[in-house]
Amino acid sequence: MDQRPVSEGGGTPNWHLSAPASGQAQGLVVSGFASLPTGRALFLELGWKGVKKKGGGAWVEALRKVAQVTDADGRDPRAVAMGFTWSGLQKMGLNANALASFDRPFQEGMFQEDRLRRLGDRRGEEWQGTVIPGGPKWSGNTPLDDAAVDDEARAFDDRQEIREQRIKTPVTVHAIVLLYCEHDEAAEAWCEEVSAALAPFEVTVSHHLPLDLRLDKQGIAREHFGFADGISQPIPFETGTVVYKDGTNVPKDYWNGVPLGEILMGHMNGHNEIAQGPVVAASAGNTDGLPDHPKGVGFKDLGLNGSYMVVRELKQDVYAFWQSMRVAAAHIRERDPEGSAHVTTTWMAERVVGRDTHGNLLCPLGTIPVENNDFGFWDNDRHGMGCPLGSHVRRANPRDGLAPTPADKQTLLDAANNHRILRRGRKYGKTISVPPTPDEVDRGLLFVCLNTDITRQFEFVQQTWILNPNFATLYDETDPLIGPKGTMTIPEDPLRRIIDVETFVQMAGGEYFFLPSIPALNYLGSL
Amino acid sequence: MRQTTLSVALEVKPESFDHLSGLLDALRDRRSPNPSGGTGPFADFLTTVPAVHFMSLSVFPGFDYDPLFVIEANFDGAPGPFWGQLETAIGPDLRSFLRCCKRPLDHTGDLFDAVTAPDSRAPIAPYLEARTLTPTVYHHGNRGMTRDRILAEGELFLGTRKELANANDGGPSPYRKLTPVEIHAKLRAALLPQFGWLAEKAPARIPFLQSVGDYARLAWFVLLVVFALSIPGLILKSQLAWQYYAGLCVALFALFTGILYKMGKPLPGTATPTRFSFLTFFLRHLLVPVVIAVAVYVAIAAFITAPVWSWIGHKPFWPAWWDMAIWAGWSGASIAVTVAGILVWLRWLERRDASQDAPPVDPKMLREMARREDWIPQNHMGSVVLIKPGVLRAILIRVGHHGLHLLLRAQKAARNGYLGSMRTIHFAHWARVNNDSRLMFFSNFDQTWESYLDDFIEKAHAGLTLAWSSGVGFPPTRFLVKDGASHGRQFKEWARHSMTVSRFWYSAYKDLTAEQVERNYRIALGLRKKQLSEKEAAAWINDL
Amino acid sequence: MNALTSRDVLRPGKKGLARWIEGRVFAAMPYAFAFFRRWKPVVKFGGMTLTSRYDDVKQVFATDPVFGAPYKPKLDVIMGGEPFFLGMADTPLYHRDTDAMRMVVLPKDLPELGRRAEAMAEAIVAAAPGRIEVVDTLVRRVTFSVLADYFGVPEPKGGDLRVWGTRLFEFQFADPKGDPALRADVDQIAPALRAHIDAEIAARKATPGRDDVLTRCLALQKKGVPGFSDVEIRTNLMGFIVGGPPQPPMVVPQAMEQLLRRPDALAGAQAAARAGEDDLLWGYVQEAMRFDPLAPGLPRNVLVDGVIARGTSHETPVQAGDTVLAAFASAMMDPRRVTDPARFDPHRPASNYIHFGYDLHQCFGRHINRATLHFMLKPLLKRANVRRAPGGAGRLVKNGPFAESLTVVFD
Repeated sequence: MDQRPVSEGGGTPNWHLSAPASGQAQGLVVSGFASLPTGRALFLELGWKGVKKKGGGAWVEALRKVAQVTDADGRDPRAVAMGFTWSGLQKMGLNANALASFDRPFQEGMFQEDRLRRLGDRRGEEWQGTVIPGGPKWSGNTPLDDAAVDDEARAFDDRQEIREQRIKTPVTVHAIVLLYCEHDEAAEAWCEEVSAALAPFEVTVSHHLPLDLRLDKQGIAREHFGFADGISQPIPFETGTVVYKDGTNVPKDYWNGVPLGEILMGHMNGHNEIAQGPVVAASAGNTDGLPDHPKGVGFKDLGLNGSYMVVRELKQDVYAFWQSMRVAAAHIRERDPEGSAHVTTTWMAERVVGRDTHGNLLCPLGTIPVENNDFGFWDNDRHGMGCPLGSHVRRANPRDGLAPTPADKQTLLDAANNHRILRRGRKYGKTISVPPTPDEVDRGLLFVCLNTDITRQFEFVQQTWILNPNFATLYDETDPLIGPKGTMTIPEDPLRRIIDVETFVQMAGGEYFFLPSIPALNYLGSL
Repeated sequence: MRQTTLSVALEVKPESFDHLSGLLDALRDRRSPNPSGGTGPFADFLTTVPAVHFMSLSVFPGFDYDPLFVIEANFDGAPGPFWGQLETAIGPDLRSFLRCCKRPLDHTGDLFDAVTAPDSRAPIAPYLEARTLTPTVYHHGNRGMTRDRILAEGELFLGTRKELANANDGGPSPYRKLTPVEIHAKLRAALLPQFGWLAEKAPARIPFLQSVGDYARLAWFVLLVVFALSIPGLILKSQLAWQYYAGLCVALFALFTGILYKMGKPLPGTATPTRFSFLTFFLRHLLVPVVIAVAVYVAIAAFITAPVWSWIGHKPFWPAWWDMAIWAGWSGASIAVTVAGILVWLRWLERRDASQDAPPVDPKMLREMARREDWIPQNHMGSVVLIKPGVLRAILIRVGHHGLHLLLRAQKAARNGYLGSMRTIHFAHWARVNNDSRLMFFSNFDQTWESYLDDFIEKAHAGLTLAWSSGVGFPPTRFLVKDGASHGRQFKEWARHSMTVSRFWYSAYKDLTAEQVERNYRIALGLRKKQLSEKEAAAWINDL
Repeated sequence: MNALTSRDVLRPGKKGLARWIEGRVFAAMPYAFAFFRRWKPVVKFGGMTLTSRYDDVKQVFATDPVFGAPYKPKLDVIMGGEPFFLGMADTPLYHRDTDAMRMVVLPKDLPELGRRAEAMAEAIVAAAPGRIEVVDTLVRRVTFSVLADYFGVPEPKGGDLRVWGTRLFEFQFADPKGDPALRADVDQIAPALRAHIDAEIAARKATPGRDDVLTRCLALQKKGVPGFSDVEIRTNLMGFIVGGPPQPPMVVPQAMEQLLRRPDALAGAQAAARAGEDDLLWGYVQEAMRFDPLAPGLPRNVLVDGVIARGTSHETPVQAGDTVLAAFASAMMDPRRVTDPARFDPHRPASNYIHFGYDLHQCFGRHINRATLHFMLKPLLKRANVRRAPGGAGRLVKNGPFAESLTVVFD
């Protein structure tokens, strides 16, 4: 199994989970299933009205008969991953107390008003430019919770009630099933099989996306803009649990090591605590397969070896991207005819990403090859003369680059590693023609990442790094690749250049999913 | 220029708590969610209250006490003019807020009556002045930068961008072929007509006398602490021959360190890895200052007491001075024993402190906070916690906070706005309220609340633990600085639990982070100079 | 001598030693105020209570039910017994009358008034050969011409509006002891001015004039809006003439004198004038006025027993019948509320200034002043090398509270 993109040759051996975690965690945790280049994302809607008191999980069992959810203990010919939204778990009849034990962001859903503002999707009444026109197509449509409005009656209360807005999407998603297999026809047939198995339970596929690795001739998986994807992942460590193939412990990787609790619930995380997961009362149904909760007496641990999966469907406008790069490069050449012979459209695009199209990191002199992920920014490129300060890769993982002095390098690297996510996304939609021409094809990235503390990991990365207008002492600019229209600074000796960038990536739907462990999945199936 | 950070904490009539919250919300709504004035009647806040940088109005709900209404303000100059300006801006609102508060029981009661009487037209400022709390610790991220200077230099920064982007629009940029020195000269010439103040000398951010005061106060404080710690030694040495005294000191020191070695280990399940080591910290940062402080103390103490001794003992001055110096010197040597003893006492308390593993957080409060956060790149938090009881804690919080305060004024990094490796705070302060039984904290910071607290957890947990570990329920600590805030989620929940909704919050420069203010400052400082050397220009141009 | 045909705007002032002493007393006042602010913020002299701190002065102005404006008796003499809003308490009639006047004195007129003041001042300065007298030649001429024209009150035949208005102003506001000679003048001038305005109203009814305040009043009278009877129109116009134009010739030359004392401030004001930064120029003029405002303070009559600065360490009771002097000149120099008051700072917030009083009887003409005062100086300030004329003429001479002359030269 591997967690690295196929495009990386990679000198570092891959990490694995040891038993019993390997039999409990879903395979998606340890692998992106690179050997299974095609796949489908099925977004399921539970069709019944209200909450099922009994039998709400029967469809899960039926589904697993045709698409067994893969565990983490070895390679399978086909692979399946599965997650649930909060609204899905509620509909399936999960105990209300158990529902209340999930992480706050998961309970509130990605489309809670304030969260959308923090994620840069919506401000007040307005969807932002980084969302498809008319608003996203799908979400969990999580209902408003008790905190949304303070309608408790109190003596001496004359305040006006502030009623929170419920933001709904046309399509409701209660669960997601990711299917991975070797070729497209098999995938199509498999999808039909799954749909047929679900139909009797009033479960429908409300939305689906064909997923694809689509390796090019050099064996590199590229996203639609043409850049090698899936580079630089965190490497978890935990003595006795995270091991190499030969059974020896994976040591803490200096540059990219994160405690396993950053990815799997129930393990020690980067903040010196056991990553919290949901719990369920031992008396609530058939909980025999679940381990006891370490602190809650009389409760079972529903979270151990599970994770939270962030999913965002990001539509890419490839033509606009390259067009914008062309305009920006032309503008630089116009303003600096003598010093800009090297400024081509591709050069421009590479500055926006921070790597060249093959994935090699840009440096002031030459590049750092894609296989090498053991580097910091401070020593190589403190001022961003090679890899611009505001480029996508620096924003997505600043490593030690935000340190104000050399003495702070270590602290800043450690701090940055407390905000890592394990990415499991794949692209969807047809590859655009070369050279790109405008077309109506829906293409993009199904962004999928795993983390245990959504606020501290995914949301932090999105808000404090990617969309932070003041990242790395820049001013009024955000991620040039996936952020809204704006500017980007390209440091250069002696004088920086500033280019205009457009919006190229738009969110078409998204939600937080619970990625249960196999025992937890069994329990949900027994509901 | 002098800058003031202060707060006014007033107990609220419990029956008026909700009403007051509503009034504050209404005040905020009249200004739209934008905390820098927006478009409503508060657009002129910038001109009517030109002194203010950041200001907040919030009410802490009552759990252990009645609710507390707090005005927090950070502004240029002395408090008097600020209060006058604020009263001009929102006088009638302030009066209606005060009417929701309890009549104070001290000498300010009559003033309260005068201000809150029906139809009262008495000025409010005197009452607010009389009720002002002095912070125990405060920190300024852009020390000495007046609001007008921050705004003017912000304009200048935008001016540089415009000039660089638009000079010879449509053709080659005239700046691209120049050296940094030439770019500086050309840019200065282009901007001077619009920014005439570039020709003026930059005012000093921290005037010389203020700096002298900062250092002198810290030195005086250190000497007092050394004296206090040496008192047991002074007494013992006066009663014992030096052999017995030395023997006792060594024996006690061995005993205390032995106990500390046993007790110093973390309680099961509370240890967190840290790079912070007492021994390295002591050897690297403390040993030399401590030795110097003790030596200076001995010399000064001898000078002060020598005349008395020479009079009593009928000795000439210098022999008397020498006797006294020996006495003080012996007591100085005992400081290590005293400190070890205090640490034993502290650790004994820490091992029995009740920490709160899961502080209750009201989801509704949390949502109300979330509703007001993250509209601009800056955010605000206010928190109140109970202070742990006991003599030692009472002394530590006073001495510790005062020392921290003086250190933040004198330490080079802190004077430059840094706390540890971060410069994300504009204004923050601590103050004790409710007859010193609670500790209040306010901060106006850059980025999000989560990133702010994560910064503390990941980059400055020792300092934060030191400042907050006196709070009831704080995660378990070791020797005041270890563990504690390193328990990330537990600490964050504890912090959220202690916080209240920042109902009204105003920022005078919403787009400017503390780092950006410094960046603008560096750019402006360069542009004020007629000519830069090559080296200066090379450093300066990185900020453009 | 006949007051009606007099051409002397100011009555002869004190001479010799008496004048010198008067000058010293005025010059010492800021120091006395500083002393009182620090040691005795509320101090009683005979029947008068002086308040010198910012807070207390504002409290006195704001608390009109206790501290009433003392203007009514003398207004009755001027207006022939007709009520004018300056003499009223916070009554419905007060609000009706001020609201009525806000229907005819409109914010949209202000820019034009500023332009007219500037144009006329420019003409006067242009006609002067490098030397100009600021009080009468420049400011008084501009003020009376522009404002009388705006109100719609022409020069009386055989008389001089500047003399009439200023004399009545002196009687109303600057005659605490009640000089019988002045009263004799007023008894001639007041009925004459009333008759003059009545005649103008009658004439306008016959042949309507162009758009000015009087024309607007008559239009509203036609519509039947209350507050616009002939007598009411006359009273208000008289109030404007008496209360308005006599003041700029006092404060504007005083401001100029303060600028001349501070070369940096003068240079700044000139730069603002030349650059056309009118708001900044206003900042300079307003700040200069703070160092020598219209008067040290304004009197108020205590109507019911009350307390000044209640709850503070200097709380002082006052009894009905007392007179309180709210020393706004001192308040604007109070370091407790005004940052670094001795520093000349053209960027101060508006709350630092109490030139126009505060609350109920805040100057009705403050917006007109805000729109015109700085324009009266602007053309002069634009000139190069503006400086004092040599000798005594180059210093501001005062006659009692009135500025009498100040001559400046320029290139």
